[in-house]
Amino acid sequence: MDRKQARAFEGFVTESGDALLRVATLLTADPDAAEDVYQETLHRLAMRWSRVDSPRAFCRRVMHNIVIDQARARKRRPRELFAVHDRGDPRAGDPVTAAELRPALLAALGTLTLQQRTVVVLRYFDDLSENEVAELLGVSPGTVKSTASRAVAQLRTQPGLIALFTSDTTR
Amino acid sequence: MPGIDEEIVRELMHRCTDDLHASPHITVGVVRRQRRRRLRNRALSVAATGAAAGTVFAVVASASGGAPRPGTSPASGGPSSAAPALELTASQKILYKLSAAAAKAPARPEGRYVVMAEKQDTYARTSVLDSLTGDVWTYQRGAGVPSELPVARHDSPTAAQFDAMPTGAAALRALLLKQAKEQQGQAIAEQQKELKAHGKKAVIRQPQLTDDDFVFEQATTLLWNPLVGPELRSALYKVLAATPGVRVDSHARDDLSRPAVEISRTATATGIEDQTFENPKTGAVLETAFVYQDGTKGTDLYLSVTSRGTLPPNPYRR
Repeated sequence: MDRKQARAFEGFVTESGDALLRVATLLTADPDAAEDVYQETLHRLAMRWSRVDSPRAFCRRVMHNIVIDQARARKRRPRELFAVHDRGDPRAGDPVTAAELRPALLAALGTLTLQQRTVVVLRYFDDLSENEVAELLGVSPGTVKSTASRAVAQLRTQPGLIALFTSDTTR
Repeated sequence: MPGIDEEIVRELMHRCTDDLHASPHITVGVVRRQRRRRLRNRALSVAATGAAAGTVFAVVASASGGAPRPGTSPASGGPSSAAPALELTASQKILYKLSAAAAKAPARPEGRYVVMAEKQDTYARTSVLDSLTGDVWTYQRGAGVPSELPVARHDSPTAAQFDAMPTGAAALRALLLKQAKEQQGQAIAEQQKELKAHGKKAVIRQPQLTDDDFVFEQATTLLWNPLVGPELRSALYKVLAATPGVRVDSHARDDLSRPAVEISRTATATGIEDQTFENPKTGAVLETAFVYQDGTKGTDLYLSVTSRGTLPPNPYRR
């Protein structure tokens, strides 16, 4: 990577880095693992920078692969205790702050299968269509639809989140 | 209730991550590691065929025997064995002194896992090298950097591969150069193949490195590695002594103000200056740094080298 490419790369990361880190956090449901995934994604992007058409699409694909690899590796190691990362952003003035909510959401996401979590994140956070998610994961659009609805149904029953799903609590 | 729960999930995911910001340190680190990786890989390919070095040397030495570089002897590479008919420059004298000091330095640590404490730019870092396999573990502590990088399999030459490399200056230079060129050729071919597979026109611009650019880059890429033994390290300094454009300052200090011999060179092709600071008493590397033309600088400080028989855990994990 020469200096000019490095600048272009830095430009892309300045623009998209936050979004990538957030996707990584949701995909892994673990802030520590997310940073590793984020950094490894950037490494792989940097290695191929001159040959990548759409950095964003490339990152999405690569990040998915890394998360899968990590999940496999983790199976062989005892699962570490869930660590709460509080980066305490002073701007969060809302009574229900991101820092307060995040552990609950990540814990809830952690109860999903990797496939469910990926579908939920790509579909609702990254705003991909069912077809786009299907293509990325190599499954049918129907599978994406059913996986998403099952995942959402499970999220709404999680103890930390149940109060937030007020739409239909008395069903 | 289709739709509403999905909207809540959507809102929740955004709300919960709004305050997460990626650290610019990571980006900078990636760009730097990219550069190091490129250099390291080149060094790796050198060592991978190191066993064949003797043969290569014989051919190269006899082919170019008529024109040894100042201060090198085609036979042994040592200045003492050659008739000192050539005047040594001040820089060369310093480098030969360093070479002699390196030869007398203790052998590399005994344990299988060599642990190197470093400071890279603003953060602490510990690299663990497996001397048998060349696998490298990287642990770090600092604002915005992950505490552990994925293990880089076979990222370093092994101790045995280093030991198999020639220790005559001429032979070593020939090997460094040959492998550097081969590896660059391979990299370009690979890139072209990949571009072709994607139906794109292959236009790969590569800086035109000179032989001396290659040699300096290769040699300095090996020097910092703690798996390099005293003989090879000693030989590497002799190679540098015979490389035009090398600047030497025997009264330098590294970024931690440790007394050092500074060896630097600006690559003809890229304008990037590579610096390495050595312990004058042992020839061990204290610091490596590079400076881009626009002044951007990256530094690696080497604090200590120890070894262990078993793989040590991440020292920074809470």
